[in-house]
Amino acid sequence: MRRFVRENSLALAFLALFLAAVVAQAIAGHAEFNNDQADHGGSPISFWRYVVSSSYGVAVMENWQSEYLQFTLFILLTVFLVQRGSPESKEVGKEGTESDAAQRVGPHATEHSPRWARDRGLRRRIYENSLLMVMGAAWVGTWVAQAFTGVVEYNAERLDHLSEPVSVGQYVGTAAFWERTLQNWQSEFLAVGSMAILAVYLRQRGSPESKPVGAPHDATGVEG
Amino acid sequence: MTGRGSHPWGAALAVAAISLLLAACAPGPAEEDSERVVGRFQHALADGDLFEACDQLTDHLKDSLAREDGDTCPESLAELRLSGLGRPQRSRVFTTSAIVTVRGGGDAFLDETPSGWRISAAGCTRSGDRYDCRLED
Repeated sequence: MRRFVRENSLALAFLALFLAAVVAQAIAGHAEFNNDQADHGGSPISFWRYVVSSSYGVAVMENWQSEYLQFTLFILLTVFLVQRGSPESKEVGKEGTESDAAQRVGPHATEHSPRWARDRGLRRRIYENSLLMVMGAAWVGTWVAQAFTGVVEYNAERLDHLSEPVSVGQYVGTAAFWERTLQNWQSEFLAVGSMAILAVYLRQRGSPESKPVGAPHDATGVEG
Repeated sequence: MTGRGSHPWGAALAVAAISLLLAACAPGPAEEDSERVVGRFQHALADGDLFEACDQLTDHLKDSLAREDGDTCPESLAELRLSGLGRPQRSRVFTTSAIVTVRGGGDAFLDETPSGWRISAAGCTRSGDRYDCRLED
């Protein structure tokens, strides 16, 4: 058990942080929802009803989709694009999907390679893109969920103004949907872009997200 | 190890997906409750029981009706001469707000209040994207 915790401490720490934050968001969101209801003479709703409501759903989904988009794009773009000096990048000249030998697939796989990496057919094609596929599917799934939960909240506001509710198809064409989406995307793109550049010149001793403290600024693809 | 084609998770997921789909299509309690309130409002108007009709309105709407010319809510309602002939046809609920379509016109908007669903606007006719309501706060 102790060994398991030690060997998985990074994932476990983030799981704990995620659970704490998502519960805290629900508590704060529920209080805010009921404050708004009280201001309009509406009925307060229970915590569990809030947790399964579209109001909470859209607040969670709009952030999830942007995070998964960030990682999907990061995985995809770092195949083909490089940043000289960044530990997040491959070395200049290695752009592309690289050779089978470099990727240790097919005949170049070792006895310790995953079984699907040794395959020569469709299974290998799937496995060598599996990270991108799963992250991409998570992005699309959460973005669709944002649309389906967002339209409910959007329509509740429309009813307050005696306007006809819209379908989910109409909602994804509204400025409201895109404002919600893009405000999350821009922050993710800024965070990843600044990380790629700042890690060229700045260091964090002991972090694999940084180059070793003494590594030169133009050393690319080196992790500390 | 379960054989291919008989994975219990697959069957459970299919059942869950079908249940969710059916649940999403079927009218829920909120839809039924909001329709019932509009039905009571329409019945009360048709019967001339304007006290009962006023009971189906939000406090905010009742107050704004009572403020106009110092009339009571039933007196203000009587002046509006709303028809109570239409029957509720379809309710669409969005968390704590709802719109109920009334057969023959005169749709109603509702809010969920501490007393249950109550009408915040009635006698509404769609005009493009918006509704013009004879009774609103």
